[in-house]
Amino acid sequence: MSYVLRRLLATLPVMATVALIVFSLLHLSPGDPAHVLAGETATPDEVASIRAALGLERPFFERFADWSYSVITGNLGQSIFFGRPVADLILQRAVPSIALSLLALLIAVAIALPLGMFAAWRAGRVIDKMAMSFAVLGFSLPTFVLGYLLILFFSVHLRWLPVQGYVAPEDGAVSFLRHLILPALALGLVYAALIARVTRAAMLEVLGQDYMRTARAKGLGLWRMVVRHALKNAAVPIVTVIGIGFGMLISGVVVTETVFNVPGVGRLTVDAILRRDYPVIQGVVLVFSATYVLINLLVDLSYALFDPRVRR
Amino acid sequence: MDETLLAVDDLAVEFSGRSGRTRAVDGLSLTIARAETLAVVGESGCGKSVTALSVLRLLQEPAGRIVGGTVRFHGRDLASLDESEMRQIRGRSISMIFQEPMTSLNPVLTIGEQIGETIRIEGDHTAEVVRQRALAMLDMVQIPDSARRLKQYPHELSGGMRQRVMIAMALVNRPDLLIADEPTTALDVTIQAQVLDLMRGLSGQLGMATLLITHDFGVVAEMASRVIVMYAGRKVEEGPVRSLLSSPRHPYTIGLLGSVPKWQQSAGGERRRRLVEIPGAVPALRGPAQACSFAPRCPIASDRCHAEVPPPTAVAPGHVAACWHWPSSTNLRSGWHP
Ligand SMILES: Nc1ncnc2c1ncn2[C@@H]1O[C@H](COP(=O)(O)OP(=O)(O)O)[C@@H](O)[C@H]1O
Ligand code: SF4
Ligand SMILES: [Mg+2]
Repeated sequence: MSYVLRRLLATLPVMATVALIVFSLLHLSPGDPAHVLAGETATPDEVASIRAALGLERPFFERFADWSYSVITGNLGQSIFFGRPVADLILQRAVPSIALSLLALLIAVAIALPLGMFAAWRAGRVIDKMAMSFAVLGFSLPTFVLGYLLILFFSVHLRWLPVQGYVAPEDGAVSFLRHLILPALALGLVYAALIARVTRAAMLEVLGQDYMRTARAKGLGLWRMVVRHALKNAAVPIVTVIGIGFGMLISGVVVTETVFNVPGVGRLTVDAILRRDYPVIQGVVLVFSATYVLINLLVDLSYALFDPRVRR
Repeated sequence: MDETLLAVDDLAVEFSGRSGRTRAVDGLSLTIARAETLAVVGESGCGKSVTALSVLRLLQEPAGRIVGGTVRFHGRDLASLDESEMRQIRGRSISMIFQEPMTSLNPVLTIGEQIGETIRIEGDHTAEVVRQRALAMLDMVQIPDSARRLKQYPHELSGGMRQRVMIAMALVNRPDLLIADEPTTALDVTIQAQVLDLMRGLSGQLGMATLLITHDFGVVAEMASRVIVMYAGRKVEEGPVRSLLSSPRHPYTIGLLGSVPKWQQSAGGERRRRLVEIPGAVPALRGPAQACSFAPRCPIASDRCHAEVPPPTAVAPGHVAACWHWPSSTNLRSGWHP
C-alpha cells in the first residue's frame, strides 16, 4: 500500500474519535442535555420539545450514528442563539480566520527559518545566544500581552496601523491587510519562536553530518550547502513542529480575534461559549479538530517530498 | 619530472574543548610530487584525518585550528587563504574522499544531483552537458546502468557503489591532488580490492597525485611509492615503500609491521583485515611534544627518550626515522609480541 494511502486511512480513526468526544461532551455531561441546550431560563415546554428533537430516549450510539451521518453530510445542527445552521455561521466567518492563520504562518516561517538557520550556523556564538533569547522571550509572552503591546506601539504610539477591527478583502485589499497585519504578527511571533528553536536544533544536527563535510569538500557555495543540502535534511522535524504548533495557532486565533476584534471563527467560539450555544461550540471544535488533523496529514505527506527513504 | 605539488611544512593543529587543548598534529612535514602517491599510515587517533582535513581547511573551526606551519599547494600557502579562496580550490584542484561511504553522501539528494552540482562549481554548463559528464564519470568508475543510477538516492546503492560515486564526484573536475582518507576501510575485502584497483587505474590515467591515508600496509604496498608513518601527531618514519617495508627502523613501525594481520568478523558480517595493535594506546598531546611520544610503549626506551624529542635521522637513501636508538631497533623484529 502506498505511503499516501496509508496516511489517509490513518486519519479516519482519529476523526472518528474526535467526533465521539465532541458528541459525548454534551451527551455525557452531567444533567439533562435538553436542559443544558435550552438554557437556564427555558420553560419546561421548551425543554420537552428539545428533548423530543434530540431523540434522547434512543440509545447513545444510535444517536451518535445519526449525528455523525448528518455531520458528514455537512449538517452541524442549529445555533440556539442565532437559530441558523451552525455550518453557515462557521463558513461566514471562515475567511478572516483563514486569512489570519495563513498570514501568521507566513510571518512565523519567514522569521523562524532564517533565524533558526543562522543561529545553528553560528552556534555557541553571541549572535546565536541573542537569537535564541529572542525566541525564548517570544515564546513566553502570552499572545494577548504581545497583541496589546503591538497595538500600543504601532497603532497608538506610531499611529501607523488601525487599532482593531476587520475589513473584508472585497472592500479593499490594502485596508484588509492593514487590519490583519498586527493580529497576524501577534499570533505569528509565538509560533515563530517555537519553529525557530526546532529549526536551530535540526540544522545543528544536520550540519555535523558527514555529508555536510563532503559538501564543503566539494567546494559548494554557502547558499547551496545550507539550503539544498542542510535544510532539506532538516525539513522533516521543521514541518513536524509546524504541524504540531498548529494547535497552538488555533487557540491563538481565538485569543487574537478577541483582542483585535476580528469577526472570525475564534470570536464565534468565544461568543458561543459565553452564550452556552452548544451546537455552535460542538461545530467549531469539530472544525478546528478536522483542520488540525488535515494539517498534520499534509505534514505527513510532505515527508515523502523531503525524504526519499519515506516513499515506500 | 619531480615537481612538488603539495608541501606541508611543520604543520601543527590543535583542538580546544571543555577538557582543554589537544595537539592532534605536531610539526608534521610532507611533500607530494605531481602524479605521486604518498601513503600515510598509523593507528587510529594518531592524526591522519586531521592532517588531511587541514590541507583542505575542513577542520571544524573554531574548535580545531591550524596553529603553525604552512601548506603549500602549487607554491601557494593554503593555511593563509580565506574561506572563499579555499572554495576555489576544493573540488577543483584538490578533492577528498572519506572513510564512511554510508554517510558521506547526502541521503535526500539524487546521485545525479550530487555529481551534477560538483560539475557546476567548475563552470556554467547546460543540463545536458552536466548529465553527459556525470554519465561518463559513472562509467569511468565502472558503475553499471549509469543512467538509472543518476536518478537513485544513496540508500538504494551498496557501500561499494557509494564509494565509487564518491570517487566519481571527487574526480569529475580532474583535480591535481586526491586526498583519500581510508577510502576502503569500511568496505568488505573483495570490494576493497576492486575500489583500490579502480583508484590506481584512474590516478594513472588522469596523472593525478594521491595522498592516501590507511592503516593497512597491504594497501600501502599495492598503491604507494612513498610512505609516512605517523604517531601521536608526529611523523616517526618516512621512506620509499620498498625500503620502509623491508627494513623499518622506528620501533613503532616495526611494531605495526610485526603485528599479525587477523581476519575479523565484523558486526555487518563483512570480513576485514585489521592490525593487532601494539600494547598501549596513542597518547593525546597537550602541546608541542617534549619527549618521544612513543616512549611509554617502546621496549627499548632510554632516559633520553623521555626527555628529548628525537629528530628525523637519515637511515637509508630517502628513508628517515625519528628515533634515538634506531640502530638497535633491528633487534626488535623478533619477539615484539611475547
Ligand atoms: N573534532 C575533534 N575534536 C577534538 N579533538 C579531535 C577532533 N578530531 C580529532 N581530534 C583529536 O585528534 C586526534 C587525531 O584524530 P584523527 O586525525 O581523526 O586520527 P586518525 O589518525 O585516526 O585519522 C584524536 O586522537 C583526537 O584527540
Ligand atoms: S626515541 Fe626512544 S622511545 Fe622513541 S621510539 Fe626511539 S627508542 Fe623508542
Ligand atoms: Mg581517521
